[in-house]
Amino acid sequence: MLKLIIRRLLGMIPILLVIITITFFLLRLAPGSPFANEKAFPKEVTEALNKQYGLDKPIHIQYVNYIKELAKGNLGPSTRYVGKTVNEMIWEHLPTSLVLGLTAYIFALIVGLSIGIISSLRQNSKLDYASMAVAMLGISIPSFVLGPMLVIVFSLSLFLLPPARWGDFRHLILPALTLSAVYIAYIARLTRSGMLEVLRADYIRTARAKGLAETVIVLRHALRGGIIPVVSFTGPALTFLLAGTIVVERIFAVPGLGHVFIEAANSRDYSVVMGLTLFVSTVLIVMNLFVDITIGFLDPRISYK
Amino acid sequence: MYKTKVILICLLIIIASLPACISASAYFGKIETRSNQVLYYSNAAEPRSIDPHKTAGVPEGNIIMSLIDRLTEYDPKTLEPRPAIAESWEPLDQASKWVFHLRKNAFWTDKHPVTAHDFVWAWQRGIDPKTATPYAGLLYYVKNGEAISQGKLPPSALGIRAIDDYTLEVEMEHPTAFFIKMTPHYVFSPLPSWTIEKYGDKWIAPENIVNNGAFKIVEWKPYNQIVLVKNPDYWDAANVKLEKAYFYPIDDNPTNVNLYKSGDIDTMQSGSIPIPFIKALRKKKDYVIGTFFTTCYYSFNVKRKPFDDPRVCHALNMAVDKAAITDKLIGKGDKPATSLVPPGIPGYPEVKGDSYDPEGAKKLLAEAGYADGKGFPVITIYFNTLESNRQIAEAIQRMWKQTLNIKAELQNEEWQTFTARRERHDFDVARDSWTGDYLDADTFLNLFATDNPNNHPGWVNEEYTKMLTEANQEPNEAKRNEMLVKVEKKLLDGGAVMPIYFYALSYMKKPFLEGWYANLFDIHPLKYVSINTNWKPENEQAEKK
Repeated sequence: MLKLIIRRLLGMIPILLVIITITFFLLRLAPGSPFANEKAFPKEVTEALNKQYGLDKPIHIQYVNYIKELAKGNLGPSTRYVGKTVNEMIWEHLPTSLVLGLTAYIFALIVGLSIGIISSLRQNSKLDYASMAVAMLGISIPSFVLGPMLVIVFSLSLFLLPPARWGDFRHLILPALTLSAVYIAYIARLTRSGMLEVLRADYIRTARAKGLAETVIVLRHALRGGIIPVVSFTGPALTFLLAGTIVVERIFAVPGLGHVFIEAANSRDYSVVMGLTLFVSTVLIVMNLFVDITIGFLDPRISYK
Repeated sequence: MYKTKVILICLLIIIASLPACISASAYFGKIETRSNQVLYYSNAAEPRSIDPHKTAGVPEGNIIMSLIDRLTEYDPKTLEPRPAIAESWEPLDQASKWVFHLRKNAFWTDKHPVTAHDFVWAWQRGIDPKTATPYAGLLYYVKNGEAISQGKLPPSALGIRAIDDYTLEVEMEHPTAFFIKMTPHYVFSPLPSWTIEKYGDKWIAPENIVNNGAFKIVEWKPYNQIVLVKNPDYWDAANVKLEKAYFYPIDDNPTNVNLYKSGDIDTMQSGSIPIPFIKALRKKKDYVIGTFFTTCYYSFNVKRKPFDDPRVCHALNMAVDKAAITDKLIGKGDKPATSLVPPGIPGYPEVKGDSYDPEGAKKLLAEAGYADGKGFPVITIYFNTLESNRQIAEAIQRMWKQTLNIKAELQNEEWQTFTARRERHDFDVARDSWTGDYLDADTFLNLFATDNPNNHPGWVNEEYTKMLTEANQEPNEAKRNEMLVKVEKKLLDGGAVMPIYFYALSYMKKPFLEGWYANLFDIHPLKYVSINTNWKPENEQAEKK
């Protein structure tokens, strides 16, 4: 197991290097400048700013400098936010994204798993069809439709919850609900199909033959195998929830990483885009490793020895 | 592209449900009596910095001006300079020098007195190429400003000196009669050298900052909120009513309207309302409309054929019915424009440029050798991706086709790509706009005085530059305005710009918010703002009866 972890972690380095290189050069290919402004700055000011941030040097030198700084763990300064480093910005906005993403995911897990299990146990019943129809709806309605709809109902008609911003628990509800809809749907469908497969397996028949109670069969034996697809899904899902929530963060004015990401891309804040890409890639790789380890525990047939 | 689509779809949904949302009440959304002097304001974007020398943005300016008192400050209604740190001032030698007499009761938050030396240090820092001040251009009016910025002279050569602790002398590059109108701008702030030298770029953090204005910053959560509280040591604290102000960086316009409707914000920056909402909101008592200091125009690239012939530019201009665009197409109260300088500058009239004249346009194009559009190349109109920009471009495309029988193609681009194209003059026709920085026609006219990065049409005319320089040296305000009118006419004759409309000021404001006036800059010095705690929805009802 330890060997596997070390091997996978070492394997990360070339992958990340490729990601960094592609992102670095792609970004510079895009027209524009970090110092573009509706009212252009005087030429000498733009030149001075480029010099300050080392952007006046040839691109390959900039690349080498970036890698050198990166090796020291320094993601560089933001060109948009004067005096801020990318490291600072990630730490500033990560907790918000974590709170929002995890809340949405935990909620999606609870609801999605319940719907999936019930559907699989009552396969082809009206309840099954109804739940799967709701799940289909969840996948089909994008967050930029669901979000404003929830705002109209809960904030602008009933005046129960704030329509946007970040602060206390009340601000969390609508964005988390919006974000979780798609995940509820996915998890419900994954659980249902996983469970259906397992419920037909021989070891479940054996369990039944032993005369075990149905709840024990479902919760202890079937679920363990049935949720493996859900666990595999968790890695990419959590990563996406961390940084891919751009739309929801914008609609609800949530100060998370997604918001920072889109602003940085729009204003050609090179180091911030680079830093966030690198951060998200790392999280994704680590999450996938974590998922593989968890599956090993859940499914006795899988061995990493 | 993706972002625009998302915003568009959000808009559509909200528009579809608007009839249900906008009720028959006289005001829009929830209004409750406010019992304390606290303001909640949507400041449109996350400030890049609140260092006066590190930013050129409006959201940043709103915070800087609440924190730092300059020589003068904007009158909340007229925007004319009012005494602030300077109690009085006088121009000398036909405005080639200005002397400011500073008050002795102004202090920094660490109890240091505010002196003339703080201005000298700050302005020298602002012009230093090492600082790279985005607004350095305004400091070029001070003697040696441009040369210092280009690295030809040391910052100490700037034409500013402290005669004593409370007398400041500013020497101008050329006589500048309107300099006083520029002094409320934040780039002319004094700064606490000792704090900046100690903390560097981090001096603006709430825990480090030392400032001298009506408010202090106590919290800054990026992308979330900035909280200001009244500064009890401010020289004019007795007249400051507001106790606290929240600035929210809300960049999504439908979200701004939602927050206003739910009562979470009291007002917002002009332009924060999605255009499709405006028709319904204009009927509400809390909708504010006025004139804004921005002109929308198209730049013709005069370095390219056929725009090097002014007759072609004029023909194109005369073929466009601007009133149809503002009234029928956009409908947010913008004013059709035939000139570049927006109305509202005291003593400066609205100059008359080319008016809508389809027959005249045809004739002029024929004179230029393109009778009925024959032989005229296919031209491209470039604009940054935005629905209203597209609508306007389509309307103009249609008008040119109908009147002049010429073909124009449309090309929208992401903002960065578009501005880069405009700056390198790689276009036929490009959408453009300009917002003035000070209450004077010069802030528009000097765009074309040199080949500067904002002169997108690339129109340079020696006589024009000479006329503008001469006008700016004229100390008599009335005479100077007359000269400036001639300068603007000269520009319009050149044909390089096709004014389309003057922006309307457009935002919502809760009825209990006082001292918040609709002015040309949409600038609202917080020291004059207050909450009417006696305002009750019932009083309004009674009034109505």
